[in-house]
Amino acid sequence: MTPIPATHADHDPLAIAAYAAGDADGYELDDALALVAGCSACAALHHDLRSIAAATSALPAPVRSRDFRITPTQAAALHPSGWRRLLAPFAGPRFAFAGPLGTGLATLGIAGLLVAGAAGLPLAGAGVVVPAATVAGQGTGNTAAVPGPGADQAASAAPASQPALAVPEMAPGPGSDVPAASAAPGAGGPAGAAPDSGVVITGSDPYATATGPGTAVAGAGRGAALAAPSAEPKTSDPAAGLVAASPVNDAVQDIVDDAADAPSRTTPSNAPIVVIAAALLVAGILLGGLRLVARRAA
Amino acid sequence: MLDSPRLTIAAGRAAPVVEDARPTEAVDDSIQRRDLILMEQARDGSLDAFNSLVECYQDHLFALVARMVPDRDQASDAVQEAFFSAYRNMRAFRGGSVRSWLSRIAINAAMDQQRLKKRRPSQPYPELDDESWQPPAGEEADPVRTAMQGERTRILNAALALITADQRHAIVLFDVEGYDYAEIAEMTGVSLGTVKSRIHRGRLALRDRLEGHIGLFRGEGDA
Repeated sequence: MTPIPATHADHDPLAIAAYAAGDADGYELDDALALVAGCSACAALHHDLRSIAAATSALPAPVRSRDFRITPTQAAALHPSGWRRLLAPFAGPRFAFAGPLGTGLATLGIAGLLVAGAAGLPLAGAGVVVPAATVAGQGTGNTAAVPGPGADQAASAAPASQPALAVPEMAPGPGSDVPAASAAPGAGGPAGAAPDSGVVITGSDPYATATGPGTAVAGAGRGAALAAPSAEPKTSDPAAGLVAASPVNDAVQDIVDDAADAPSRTTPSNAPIVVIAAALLVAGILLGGLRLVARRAA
Repeated sequence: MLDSPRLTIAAGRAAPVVEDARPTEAVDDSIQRRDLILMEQARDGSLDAFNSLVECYQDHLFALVARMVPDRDQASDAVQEAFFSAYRNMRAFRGGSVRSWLSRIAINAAMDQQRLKKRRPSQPYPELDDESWQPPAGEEADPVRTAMQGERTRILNAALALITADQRHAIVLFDVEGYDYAEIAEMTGVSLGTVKSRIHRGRLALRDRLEGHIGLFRGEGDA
């Protein structure tokens, strides 16, 4: 038996509660007996708890306020019909594994896609270096401006002292369904533009990149990017608006052409992972969704 | 022969058990048989048979759920939902006590209702003071005693509404409905120790809530 503290505040009320309910045994019972015998407040607590339990047991039954009988209309609605009848087995306890299994498969699928994507992310670039005078970009954004006439389209001006713009080779990455769209890593900030720039090239996907021999222009600043034109130019594609009016534009056009020729970013090495992961994701979503819909319908 | 020790032992051991158990078992048997017949008819498509079961158990289920869900409207909804669920899942009934089967469905519906309330809390309408059932007053009924009983009920219901839902469910199932710890553990999906702990802590919490009115209850446990 543990020594009993001097003050009631330090006594264990749960031991008293267990004793009052008849659940205390062993040391707990000894402690509770000692507390009730030696502390008047504990004795009062014990008495009150027994009184409350007795009063709770004697509570009168609440009277229902309405009739719960089922009308024929309600009964007809409660009978599963059509697709609900088909889904009914999936709502039962035998199909209870579907929810966790679906969640697990979907998680694996997402993880697989992330792994496949991470395997294709560019870690470092060492590619063509375009002279500073050629392409200047200071911004951290996903747009870069190419010098040219018509400065009215420039997003912002870059200082003339801006160093050269690195053009790294891009490693394979996710999102291969967008052919040849390329942008530098780190894109995501404000636009950078040369003082006399006339064309703004926007990469909408900061991670979009070209693979293989293709290259993309990366801003030497905090991540200025240059998007390569799409192989199938659209009206919304900013690269479609390139104006080849200067040697600078020619250089950029070469880079852009290279990028356009780049193959899809899904390389043979990670293609199976992507396919399996996508299959797992779809299977998981279908399984979990089926269970969810069946339970809702039931 | 009357002095035989064997007779003394047999008489002392068996008599009270027979007196207590026989009528109860007979009643239980007949009720259970009736329930099973009604359930069989309901499964065959008789709505009247199912509604007979509803009539038999709606008072019991509402009393059970109304104590677990303090808001009357929500309790009514939970009971209705329980009967709907029972009607939909009649094929899942595997025999045994229909009353227990319905009670479990109602307890699940009450707990679902409480979870729903936790997610979407709402302020219930104030309860009317005179909604609780009171025993019919006999000629010798003491008005003071009746008033005290009504006051005790009102205060205890209010205190029950203030403790946590888990503690309330455990106390109602144990103290009011008379389920044992193992049954409550199975119904609520927690361990035996958790059930005990909820009941002990719930009673301590009730005592705190009844702080100013505990005098009304003193002496109840001595009976």
